[in-house]
Amino acid sequence: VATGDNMRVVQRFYDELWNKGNLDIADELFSPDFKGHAPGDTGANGPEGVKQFVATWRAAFPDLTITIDDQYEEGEAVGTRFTCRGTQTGSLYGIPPSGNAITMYGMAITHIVDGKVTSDWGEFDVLGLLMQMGIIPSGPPQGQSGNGG
Amino acid sequence: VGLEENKEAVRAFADAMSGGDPGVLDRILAPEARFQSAFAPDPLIGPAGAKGFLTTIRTGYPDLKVSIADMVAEGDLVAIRIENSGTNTGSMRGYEPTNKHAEFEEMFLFRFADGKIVEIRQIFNVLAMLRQIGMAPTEEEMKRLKKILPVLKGVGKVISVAGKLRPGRPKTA
Repeated sequence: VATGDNMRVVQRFYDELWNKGNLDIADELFSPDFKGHAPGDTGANGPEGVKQFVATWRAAFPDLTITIDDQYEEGEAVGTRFTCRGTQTGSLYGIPPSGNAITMYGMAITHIVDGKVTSDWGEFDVLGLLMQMGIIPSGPPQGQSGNGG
Repeated sequence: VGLEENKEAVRAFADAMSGGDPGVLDRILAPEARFQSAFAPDPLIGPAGAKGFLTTIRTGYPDLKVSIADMVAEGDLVAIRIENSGTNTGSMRGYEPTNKHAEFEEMFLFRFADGKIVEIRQIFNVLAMLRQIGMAPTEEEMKRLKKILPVLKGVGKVISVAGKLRPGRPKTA
């Protein structure tokens, strides 16, 4: 596997699935035994699980776009730092549409074997997301001190 | 491109989170390093800023154990996924300890220049951690909250009107 090949697989995953909503490409990019992890949803297994996961988010944020801010590759692992932007015009996991434009930061580490994605571990700022959707009051849970944490 | 040295510095950082010597930060961080923490709105600067972060987490979770579950390094970047496990027996950011145990994942991205860390970015599921120690509403509680929110707002209005009718009453915080 040439350096950059695995990175391009992840770029297609973000671009085709997340940004264009071309869900069927999951069959090509993801291994049948794929396991996904994301805050609030650990059940994205196999290409079908990926399609469902992406569809859930794109239903809530139809104009969702993910921008890759940093990307790094080592062996079968590709790391990505990303920013998601979108307007919540649909409901998300039972949270009614807020109509709010949100910006959310996240990172992921994706593993690729023989050109297929076998695992993807993503973390993103859930607290910030819920604040922007108006579900919990804004302002991070801060005490008196301004540094650390 | 000293990839191995960079990885070694990141392992030392995780070790310091896990209770190791914070003094190591003086060696691995550049004086102008910017640490964008998940909690603090402004970046923490240099070894002193990162030590403040360590003090905060080690005070809140004195038994915190951090293990590196995955690592990706290329060029001047090193990313890690870590697993945190600890008990909230100390006060954190002004909140009283809950004495509850929490396990949560977290990701860090480190950028190096001239062998030193110059940028740190932290992402973790703050909500999952707060839920485990009972400081954030669960999903079910949030659904209920959403339903009763209009009622609460109505009650608040009544209270504020009542307050105006009785101006002698002390204001609540």
